Amino acid sequence: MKSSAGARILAWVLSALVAAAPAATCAAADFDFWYAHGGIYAQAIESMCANFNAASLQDHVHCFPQGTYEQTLRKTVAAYRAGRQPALVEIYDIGSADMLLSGAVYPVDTLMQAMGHPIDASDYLKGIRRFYATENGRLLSQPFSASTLVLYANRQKLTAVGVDHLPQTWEAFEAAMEALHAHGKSCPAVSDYTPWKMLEQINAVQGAPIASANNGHEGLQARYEFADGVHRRFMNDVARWYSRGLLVPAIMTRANDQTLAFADGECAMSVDATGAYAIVKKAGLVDAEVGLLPVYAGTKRYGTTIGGSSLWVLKGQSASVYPAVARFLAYLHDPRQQLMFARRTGYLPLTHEAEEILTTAPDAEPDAIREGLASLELPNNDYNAGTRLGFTPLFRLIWQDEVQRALGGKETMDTALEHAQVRGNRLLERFQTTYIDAPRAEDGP
Amino acid sequence: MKSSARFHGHWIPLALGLPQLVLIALFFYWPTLKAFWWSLHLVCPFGNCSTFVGLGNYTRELTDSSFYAALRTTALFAAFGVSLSIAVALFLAAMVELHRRTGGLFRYLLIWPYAVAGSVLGVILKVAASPSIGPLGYLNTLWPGFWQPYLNGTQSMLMVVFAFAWTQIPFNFIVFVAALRAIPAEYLAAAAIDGADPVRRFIDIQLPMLKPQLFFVATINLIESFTNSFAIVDTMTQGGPGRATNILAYKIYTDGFIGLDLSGSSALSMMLMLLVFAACFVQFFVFERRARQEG
Repeated sequence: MKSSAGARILAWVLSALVAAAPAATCAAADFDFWYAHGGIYAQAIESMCANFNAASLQDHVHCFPQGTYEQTLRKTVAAYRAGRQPALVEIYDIGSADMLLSGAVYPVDTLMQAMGHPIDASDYLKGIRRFYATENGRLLSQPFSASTLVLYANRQKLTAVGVDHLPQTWEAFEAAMEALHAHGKSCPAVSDYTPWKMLEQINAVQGAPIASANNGHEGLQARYEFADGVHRRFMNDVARWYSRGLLVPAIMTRANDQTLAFADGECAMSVDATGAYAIVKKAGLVDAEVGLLPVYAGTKRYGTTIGGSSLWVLKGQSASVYPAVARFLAYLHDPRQQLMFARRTGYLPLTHEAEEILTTAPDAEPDAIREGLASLELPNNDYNAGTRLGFTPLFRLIWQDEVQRALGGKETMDTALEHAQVRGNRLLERFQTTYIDAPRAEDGP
Repeated sequence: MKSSARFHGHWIPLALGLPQLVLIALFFYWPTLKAFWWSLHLVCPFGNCSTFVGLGNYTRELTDSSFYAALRTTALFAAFGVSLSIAVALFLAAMVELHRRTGGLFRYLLIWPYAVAGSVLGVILKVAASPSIGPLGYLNTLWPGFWQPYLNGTQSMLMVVFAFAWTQIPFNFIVFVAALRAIPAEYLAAAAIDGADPVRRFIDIQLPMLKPQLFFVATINLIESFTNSFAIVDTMTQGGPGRATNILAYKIYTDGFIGLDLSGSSALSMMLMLLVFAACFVQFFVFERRARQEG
């Protein structure tokens, strides 16, 4: 009698637990899309989702913001391991190495081919295609948001101190900062001191390697090799600008954010992503002039690289979902959607067709996009297609650690960069060991 | 309550304990086993590969200077955080006890902050400590460039230590007040008649009688500083600048959740767990001995 009462309670607890698990039923052509943006960027994405759903009779995409890029990748990993992954997810550029080796991906080129919406990789702008393509030129994900680095300057403030032309070189950039400083401007230029801007883009525009094996594009044997050469020169300049109060850390500004500190007029110059343009424009407080990223005087200028994200289709959905995903991807690929997204956010158009419409359109395209596209079109060598290296998110933290220690006077900048390189190479070795026997991705859902 | 009160049979007590057991199994035993398993392997984040490496992850972490840096930071943070929270709580409790009549009001006021979550507190203190807009930014108008917690490692450590103490003080305060109230008033009255002032009475009578509570509170605070300090560091400094506040708990988070290094961060969590166990064992051991002596 007693034990049967106990068993009843046990049964009740168990049934409560079972009932708590969310029901996993949905109509055939419904699927989830996880994206990694907030604010005006999220609004633009939500309106693309809404328009697709309104125009489509049979398909329905559920678009969910999942926080930052890091959070989205983390949640995707967790969801995939639990078997509850979305059909489509936006993953940042430096997550590409993990995604390509994950075995969790249904390659976009195969999917689009199979569903009757083939996409020619050569449609994409060179800088974008090279960044995401595999060694044999395939696109396993669909490029989505792409941004590159440009120089923003507050025209009014520069004119006031007698700088009539945007600095084209770092020497001129330093002279402009000094002029602003001499006229009592408390924030001549602002930076958040992140490696995407200070390492990846600087080395790209100077055509200098970050890692061997073509910056990792040729395989897992790549190792870092940035600690000498142009990066060392640039970071020593940065340290000098920092100590003289010329290049102010974003965290020390009132806005507490690089883009906002320029947009609110506090800081006169900012080397920032084209994607920051929407915020500068929307704030409407400064007369922003946009130009190419400076280079060192007397050196050859190469193309900058991109940053941003691409869309990955995940395995493990029911077969009826993939045609709908393909239609949504084709819809996003459409030049009209690319242009809408570019105009609202400052992200770059992705394909030649979209670029041409944008550059020939009667309404002036945003300056940042024009300069960003020009910057991508410059001559290339092996080192302007970004990096394809494992544990890049951790490496970026290591680079920041070491650079902050150097700026704080705990070690010299040269030592800091050497430490970052050694620590980074330890990560690359481990990444190689981890994946050395990993089964290659199969080409299918 | 009678200590002999007990259920008969096995099923009812088991069933009553079941929800708790299920929760602990789901949220502690299972993740712990999983972390232990991962710590012996090199695992791919998406689970498509896993190579057994034995203690390889441990030896790698134990030969990595950033592990020792994190350990040193944790020790520094724990030492300062725990002593500050105990010292302030003790001082406040002694003050409140000194004036038992007015003490009641202050007792409630001082317990309230206990209800504030670590991350909420982090946000509040982050604004308060902001060098440009916060009240502490005023220091920069007096001495330009003086207060720079996001550039100066010592100041950022001070900031998180202060925030941590803030979260611990109310709990410590409750324990100390209760313990002080349990000290018979006659002892203090007798000492007062002999001419001992409040400071002497505190040092010679109250403090020695608080020893068990002091030890208990120190252990709890220590474990908190190993584990629950994560939210404060995450909201205020993200381990920076230049890993000056990168305590072990935060390193585990960045390695595992931002870096997707599940193996390394699992090995680190196993080591952190050993540290916490060690702290618990010391406490149990000392309490047992005291109980035996007193019993």
